[in-house]
Order: sequence, then structure tokens, then C-alpha cells
Amino acid sequence: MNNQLRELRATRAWSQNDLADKLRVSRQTVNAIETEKYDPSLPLAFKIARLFKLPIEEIFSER
Amino acid sequence: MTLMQTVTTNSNPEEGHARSPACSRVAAGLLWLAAATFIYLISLWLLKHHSDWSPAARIAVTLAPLLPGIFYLRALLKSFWQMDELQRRIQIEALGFALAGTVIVMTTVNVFAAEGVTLVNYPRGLGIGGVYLTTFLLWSIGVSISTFRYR
Repeated sequence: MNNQLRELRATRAWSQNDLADKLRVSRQTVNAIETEKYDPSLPLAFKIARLFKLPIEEIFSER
Repeated sequence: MTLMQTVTTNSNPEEGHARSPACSRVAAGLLWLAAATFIYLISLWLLKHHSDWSPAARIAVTLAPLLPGIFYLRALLKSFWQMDELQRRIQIEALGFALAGTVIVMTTVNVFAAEGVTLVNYPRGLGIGGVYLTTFLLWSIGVSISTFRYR
């Protein structure tokens, strides 16, 4: 699954640690999602969408 | 209200949170494990040197390490529940790897032992200590592999 997480994070000038704290996950999880090695669960995807105030499909898309 | 509106208006995910220190949970777990091991060794010594004790007393001594063992299990579960979803996945993959690997190693060693081909440390097959050691080693390898995979 492709995602725009890194770009979205960059627009807010957040570090991976900042984003991890806001999502209550580890930095490793944020990094794995950004590098598309790990697809987040639906609850985490919703949390990300809520944080960036965007619909899920604008952040995540099928390859 | 649509689902997405609900998602974007409910609660504030930007609120900070106070994570309970994971180190203290690990420390608590290790402490209970050390206590269980210590009581287990004392139990072994008592059972060996007091064979005249009543069966009830011997059962009580035998079961004594279970209590700290239960607290160790509780600390382990708490630290597991505290993990985020990726860390849980890493642990599950590592535990699966350790479980399957231990079965393979145990079967292989025991088949060799049955055929008379004995290893230096395990002349009668893989004992319980060997099983613990193998599981721990394979779990460590599994955690390393999974961590590297999602790095």
C-alpha cells in the first residue's frame, strides 16, 4: 500500500518521534509505515487520518 | 454525520500522553523471573535433602516457584499489551519462529539420540533446560530478523 505519510509529516515539520508520540506508537512503527514495509491496522489508519484531518483514501492508496 | 466527519471531529489525537515507563515493566518481569528461579533452586535443594517430609509438604515446596512464575507471566503480558501493533507483530513472528524452530531442533536431537548418535551436552535428547535455551535463542534470532525486516 502506498502512503503520503512522510510528505504530510514534512509539511508540518514533525520528526518521526513527534508523529510517533501523537499516534502513541513507536518511532519504528512510523518509519515502517513511511517506508511502506508495514501497513497499519484500520484503527491506526483512522488515527492518522484524524491527526492530519484528511480522508484515509487521500493518505493511503493501493499500489 | 458521515464516518469521515466522525473520524475528523472526535477526540484530539494531538494530545500528549504519559507513557508508563516500559523499563519498569521489564525490570519487574526480570525481578519476578529471578525470584522464580531462586525459589525453584531452593525447592530443588529442599526436596533433595528432606525426602522425609510429608507428601503435602513436598507438593507445597514443589509448587512454591509457581507463585513468582505467575507474577512473571503477568508482567510479561502487561508489557505485551503495552506494545504498539508493529512491536506485537514482531513478537508474534518471533514467538512463532521460536516455537516451530524448537519443535524441529527437539525432534532432530531426539531422533539422533534414539539412533544412538548423541550430542556432547545432550546424551539423552534435549532436556527441559535445552528446550528453554533453544526457545530463548530462537526467539532472540526471530526478534532480530523481524526487527530488521521492518527497519
